[in-house]
Amino acid sequence: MDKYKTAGIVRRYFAYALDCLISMLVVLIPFLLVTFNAVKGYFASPSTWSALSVVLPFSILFLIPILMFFYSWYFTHKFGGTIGKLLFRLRIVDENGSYMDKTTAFWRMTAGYALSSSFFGLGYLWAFRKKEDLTWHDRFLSTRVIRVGSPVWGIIALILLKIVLITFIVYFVITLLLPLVGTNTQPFPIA
Amino acid sequence: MYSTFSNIRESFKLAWKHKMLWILVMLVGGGFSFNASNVSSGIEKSSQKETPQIETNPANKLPSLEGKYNLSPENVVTDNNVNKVLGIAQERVEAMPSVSSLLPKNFNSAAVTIFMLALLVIIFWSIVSFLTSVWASGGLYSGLLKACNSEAYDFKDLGNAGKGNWKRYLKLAIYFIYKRLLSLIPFLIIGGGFATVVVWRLGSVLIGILGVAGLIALVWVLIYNIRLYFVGEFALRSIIADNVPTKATFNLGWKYYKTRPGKSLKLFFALMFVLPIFTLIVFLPTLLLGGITAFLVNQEASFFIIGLIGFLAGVIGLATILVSTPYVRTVSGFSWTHLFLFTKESFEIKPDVDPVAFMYKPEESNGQI
Repeated sequence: MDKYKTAGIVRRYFAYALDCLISMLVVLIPFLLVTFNAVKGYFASPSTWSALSVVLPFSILFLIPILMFFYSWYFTHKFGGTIGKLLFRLRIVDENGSYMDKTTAFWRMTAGYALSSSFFGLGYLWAFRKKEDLTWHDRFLSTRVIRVGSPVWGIIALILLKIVLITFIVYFVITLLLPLVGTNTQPFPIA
Repeated sequence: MYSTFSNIRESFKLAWKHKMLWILVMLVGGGFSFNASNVSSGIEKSSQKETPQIETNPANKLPSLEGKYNLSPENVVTDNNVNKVLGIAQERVEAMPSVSSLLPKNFNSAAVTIFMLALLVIIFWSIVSFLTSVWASGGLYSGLLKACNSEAYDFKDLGNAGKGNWKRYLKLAIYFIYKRLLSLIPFLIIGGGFATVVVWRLGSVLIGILGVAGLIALVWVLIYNIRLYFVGEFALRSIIADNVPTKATFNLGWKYYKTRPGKSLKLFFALMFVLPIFTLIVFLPTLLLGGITAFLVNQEASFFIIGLIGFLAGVIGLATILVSTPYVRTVSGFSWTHLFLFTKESFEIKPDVDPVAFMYKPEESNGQI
């Protein structure tokens, strides 16, 4: 993979933005829907409402980030990057040009990102320095992100997901949330 | 020739020169630290524990309410059957459900499940944070030793050292936690006995004996853990420098500490004195600007000037924190590394000797006496 050039920080940023968007959709949509259902159930019948219905929203909020962590780890060492990176045609490789092993992928995701995030993200901005396009986590773990093709699918995905997210939020607020807020309810009925 | 003063002075110079280590120092300090990584952070932690005390009046000195407020139902409810305190009809007050009946169904089960979920998440991210800290330790101590020995290194060397040594640092971290927990056992046993004797009133003599024994155990636990801090400082460096198994590293740490206990204590107190003073000096501009801002507020100066000076104070304060925190921690790291290398030199009379075998032999046969 030596023939491929190292990816610039801007393209990496957009790939990261796409990953964030995917994570948000995976977490946010189920969370909002199940939370809405729980709240709606409460307003409909406070006396018969079970508190166990809030367990699911909390489970989504707590457990999906952990699942996302394992997904990112698996994809990084198996396919050379998360979905965002793959769509932007980026691959993370080690100094030999092959995909990272599990251990390096783990350290890159944990210690590596923590290193680059310290000092207000100076480690990421380090990629602007010289022409190597290497962040601190790349330098510490001897990895680099290379370009293997055109980012067109990544850009399309980014735009589409943005539209999906905005549409969902608008739909959620207008169709589900506002009618619920307008309902005249008595949460604690007094005999 | 080694001296604590020259050690600290040299450490200040080296810490400024090796800024790459600042990154790792922050990661070691930021994660779950199994061993107080430096004196300054210990001071910060202890100062944070101090909570402001509210002056309270003893209950017997409070003014008596007797005769002032009569909250009996016949006094609270007026003639037109309205509750004066709550401001609503008395029938509604009587019809109000109890607090427990307001809780939704399965509230306890839901609360326990959410609590367990939160605990699971906290444990998971704590483990990740702990591992990150362990990885950074490998890189940091390798870098400190290389810098002290004037060897060249780069990002990759430190990263490889972290990757290559994380298991050993993890084992050592767990071993230290185990030792610290173990040291609590005598105190807990005596404390348990003391509590039993007090509860069952088994005799004042026994209470006295167990009380004194408990106090001695507590003092011993404190002293042992302070010594473990010094041992930790040496053992963390010994992993890289001596390249021996975990338990042998721990034992070597003790050996190094026992060789120069006075110098360890001296360095500890010197750092405890120097680093806070240094921190105070670098924060002087921020404090000064903060003082000026407070003065301007007091003088009711223009909002623009107050905002400008306040903003400047904030920016300078933030920059100072960003630079001084890793710098001070790196200075502490270099100081202990210097002492470690100085102590290690006294062992290196026969460099060809296997350090583990050397360690377990009597000092006389090693030619130290």
